Amino acid sequence: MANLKELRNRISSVSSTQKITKAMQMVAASKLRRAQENVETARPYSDKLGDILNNLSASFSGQDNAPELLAGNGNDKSHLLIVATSERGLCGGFNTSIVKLVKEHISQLKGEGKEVKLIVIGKKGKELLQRDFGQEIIDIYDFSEVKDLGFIEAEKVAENILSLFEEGKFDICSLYFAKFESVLSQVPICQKLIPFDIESEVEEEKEKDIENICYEYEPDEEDILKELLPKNLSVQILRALLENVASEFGARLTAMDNATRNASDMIDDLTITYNRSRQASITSELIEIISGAEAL
Amino acid sequence: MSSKLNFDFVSPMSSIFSGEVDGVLIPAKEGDAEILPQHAPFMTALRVGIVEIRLTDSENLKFLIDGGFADIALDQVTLLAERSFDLVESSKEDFDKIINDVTKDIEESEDGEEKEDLLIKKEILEANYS
Repeated sequence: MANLKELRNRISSVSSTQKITKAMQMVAASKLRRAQENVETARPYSDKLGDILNNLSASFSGQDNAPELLAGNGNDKSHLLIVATSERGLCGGFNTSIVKLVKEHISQLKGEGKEVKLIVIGKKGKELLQRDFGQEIIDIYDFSEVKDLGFIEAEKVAENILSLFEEGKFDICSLYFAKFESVLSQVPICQKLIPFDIESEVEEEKEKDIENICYEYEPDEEDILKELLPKNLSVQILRALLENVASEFGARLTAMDNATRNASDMIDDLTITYNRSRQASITSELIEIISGAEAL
Repeated sequence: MSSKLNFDFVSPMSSIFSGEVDGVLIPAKEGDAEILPQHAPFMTALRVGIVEIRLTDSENLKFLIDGGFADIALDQVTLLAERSFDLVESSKEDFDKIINDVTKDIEESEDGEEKEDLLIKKEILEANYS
């Protein structure tokens, strides 16, 4: 049986770990609320932009003169994957599940003989992807210094993607992040950025509302679309970043809750062992004394 | 026939204004446009300029925007702008700060069109400085 002093040390170390996880859980809970608010406030803009885009792009579908950002450049040889992850760890399976999805897609694309390039946002994604795909990573963004992720950061990423696209460095671009569904569930998803993915379901619903509206455009549709598409890219990235932040805190909240609970289970177990071994040593001491007295 | 417009003014990070208004003056790409109730469906890109929201006859809100989009349909106006600056409510310090930033940007920028936009922005800011 373990020595009493050792047990006492274990108990105190587990309870200080529990204090840390408990604190992290509470911090995550309050930050999660803020992050959720940010997601909500960003939603109207991206929804409206999506509506306008769907409207416009419907008139371009099937035409040859559609902008490349909307319809793609006709090739699908080279894929750019943008992987959004967190800057900090201790958030359960959050980063690994995103990276797992990315790795699956990479091996699938490579199997088809496509060229793969990666842009990683966040330190954790870099750590997880660098070993296997260090060659493919063309850019890494580290926003650990940024307190509140906002439009400026999203714009930075979007500008980079646009200039790479114009240089013809890739044909198809998709974005990987974890969609925040609830505190308990964050789903890693892949969203196509270039060519623009028209949401067919949403479109059908909206079409009913605006069926009879015949818009006038100024400047013409093509020019508007040319301005709108790069903006849409920034907004989609912003949405992904904000969703990701909310998901990260959600995941951390759950992970830390589990950790706190595990720690208290562990403390209970250790306390029982500690009490038993203390009792055992007392009993054996008593037996020694009694048998010593009997011997006399 | 309604005599009010539903106006939504949103930026990526927040909703700036939402409610019923008498009319909106927007800096459309090809000239300023005043949007009143019963306007024909209209979609336009915006340039640097002032968005004026007419709440009542005497009450106006003014925002400086860096460009954006407006979507007008069935008495519903939606204005999307990435950056905006309140020209009525902002304090002197806010003005000083943004004018400083713009001046710095002007010094750093080289591109002709971009610089022109920044100069217009600065002029508007200085004209509304209070």
